[in-house]
Amino acid sequence: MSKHACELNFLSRSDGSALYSIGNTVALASVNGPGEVKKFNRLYNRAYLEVSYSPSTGQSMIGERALESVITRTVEQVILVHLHPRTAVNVTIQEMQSDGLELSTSVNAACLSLLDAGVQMKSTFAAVTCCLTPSSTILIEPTAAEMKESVAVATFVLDGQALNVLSAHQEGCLNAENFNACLKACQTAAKDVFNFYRQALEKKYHTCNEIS
Amino acid sequence: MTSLETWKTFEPESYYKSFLEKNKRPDGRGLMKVRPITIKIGTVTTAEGSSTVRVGHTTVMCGIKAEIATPALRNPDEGFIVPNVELYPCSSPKIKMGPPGEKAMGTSQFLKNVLHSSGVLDLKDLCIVPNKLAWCLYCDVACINYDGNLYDAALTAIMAALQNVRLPVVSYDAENDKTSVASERTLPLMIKLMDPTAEDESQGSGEVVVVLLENGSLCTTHKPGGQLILPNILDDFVKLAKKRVKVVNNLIDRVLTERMDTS
Amino acid sequence: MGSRDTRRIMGPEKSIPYSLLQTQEKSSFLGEDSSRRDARSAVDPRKYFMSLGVISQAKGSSYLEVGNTKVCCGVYGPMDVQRGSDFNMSCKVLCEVKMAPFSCLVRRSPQPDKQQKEMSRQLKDALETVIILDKFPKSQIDVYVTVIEDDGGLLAACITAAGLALCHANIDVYDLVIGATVLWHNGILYADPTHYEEEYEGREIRSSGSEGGQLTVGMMPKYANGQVTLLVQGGQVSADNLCEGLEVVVEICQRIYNLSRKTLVEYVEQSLEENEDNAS
Repeated sequence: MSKHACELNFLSRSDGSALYSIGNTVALASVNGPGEVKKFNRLYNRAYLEVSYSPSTGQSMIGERALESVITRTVEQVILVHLHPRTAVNVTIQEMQSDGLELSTSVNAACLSLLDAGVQMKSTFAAVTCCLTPSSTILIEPTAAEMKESVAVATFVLDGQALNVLSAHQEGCLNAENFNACLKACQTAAKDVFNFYRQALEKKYHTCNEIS
Repeated sequence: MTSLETWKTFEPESYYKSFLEKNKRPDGRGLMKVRPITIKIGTVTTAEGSSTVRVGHTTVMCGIKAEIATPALRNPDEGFIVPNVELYPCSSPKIKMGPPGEKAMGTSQFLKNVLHSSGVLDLKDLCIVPNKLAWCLYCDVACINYDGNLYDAALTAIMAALQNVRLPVVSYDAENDKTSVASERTLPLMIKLMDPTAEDESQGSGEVVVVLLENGSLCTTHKPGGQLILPNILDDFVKLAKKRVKVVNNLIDRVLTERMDTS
Repeated sequence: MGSRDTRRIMGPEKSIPYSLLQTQEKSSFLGEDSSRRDARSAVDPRKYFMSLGVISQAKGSSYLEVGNTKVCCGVYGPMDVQRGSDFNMSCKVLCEVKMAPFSCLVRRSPQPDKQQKEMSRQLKDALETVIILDKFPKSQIDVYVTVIEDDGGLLAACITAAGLALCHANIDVYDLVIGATVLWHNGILYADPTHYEEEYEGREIRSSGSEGGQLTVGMMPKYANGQVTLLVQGGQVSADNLCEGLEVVVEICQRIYNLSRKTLVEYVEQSLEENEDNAS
């Protein structure tokens, strides 16, 4: 597994933020809300969730927009939107440095920034990417170069309670057996990610205690 | 308005639940039952390859236009394939005028992902002269009637249309740097692994798309958020999709042979 | 193209249609035996195919084939006017014509262009006089036309399809609106030109400046002895010829009108039968 690193409350003016890195991929997520919502986005029975993702260079193209909608629909299921009707939660993700793991890094950054902002959620969630090499070994959190060599790349977003699949995304061909093997491997790796979350948050609240 | 419609409008949740309790859907089919699918090919004469696919009420048309381009510097011996989905405002009251929305963009990106990762078409086959000329296939999928399950319909349409493509012979004269194109379109494309088919189950809050190849290996899974599911339910979806691949493949084959016979 | 489209998958920066590289034969307007290329007589329109209710989601919809020209129309409404517009005692009509990228010989960019905007406006002009606008105050009717294939007479086909869809949507109209096109070439009138004929004539007018042109009419054949709702003429035609052309167009409209009526009546009969079957 690549090295995970995280800094919570990185931005001072947003409700919650997290700078998260897996290996050489770095993403910065910031959360604002639940707060004011634009008129045409207002939903009478729940909060409106808006995720925007901007790449490190250039304009946001169709690929980034598709990524945005995957993240939106993942996060939407986890946060308790029904607690805050007629509001909006904005999640802004800025890719800082890219090494192939944009999806999992931004999902994890989003989760930690939501925790940082104190938005109520059903459970935490974590994304793990793995790839299958031509010699059919499974690599967890590969680099971009390793991904290029591989047969297939799969990303799973798992929830923090029972490690169930929240969202899955796969490129390249896998047979059913390999697919399940990838899922198992990602579930194991996700446990470590959740432990890392715990450490990061403990560190944050530990410093809070000292001040008071 | 009948009382049934009033119920549907004011209490949509209890309306659908009442059907689900009886393991049925409002249109009368069972939970695991798919809608009938019809495929026609060669429906648009201005396109090099075309198809019309209906899945229940959902109607999509795919037209493939071929143009000649210079290969990219990074891959000098490869052509291009550019899939795009257009959801026209006439297809559903929910779709507004203007640039493509989230659904259309998501489906476009999904199609690109499937076409590239399934290897249905070797991009090297689209190259005419390395570093000089290559085919660029614009696969535009137009949705005329949107009644759910766009992934499945769009993918089936694109696969059927790809198999309908006929390209003209291109000859290249290296000395004069001249290119000439034959007037007849004769060359079919080499489609290697035939027909991935998507199985997509949208049941209110969650949807899963599984794309399988004919040999049974999973080519793309796409589950953009939605309800939590257990891994073994994923397996069930795969099993369901496997059955469907056979049905759709047989259908495309039949349409193709029928067309061969007539022409 | 001005800016790069960030909402669609882009191909290579430059690609050209292969037809440009094909050797062009010297072509003529008429076929070999000096009849039209599809062996029609000069005043005959092409074959029509119409069907109703093709879009399950729309209030009213129609599909029309004129030779190889294929269009599909969906009508939504009458419904609330979008927020922000002023109060209006009559109905607002919104029209949009969209051409599929594969509908022409050369692929067109999916972004809306001048031709599509122009056609949307013309269609709107034609329909605003057809719909009884005062019946629907404070509301809006959306008419969306999708062009699947363009083989000439496109605007006329759009008008006819929209007229059928409006009827299918139970929207009050003064009469069924019908579109038809004629074309002059070398002083002879040709009804319902194909795309090839339109292109050829257009080229010739540009190069030689000879007399020739095209006339598209949208009309209500039965309302007050036939009322023209839209008239678009291009090229250069003498006033006498124009009058003669108008007469021919009116006659063609009458023929299409009968056909459309038959389609509508058949559709109603069929749905009545289905209702009876369901009831019994």
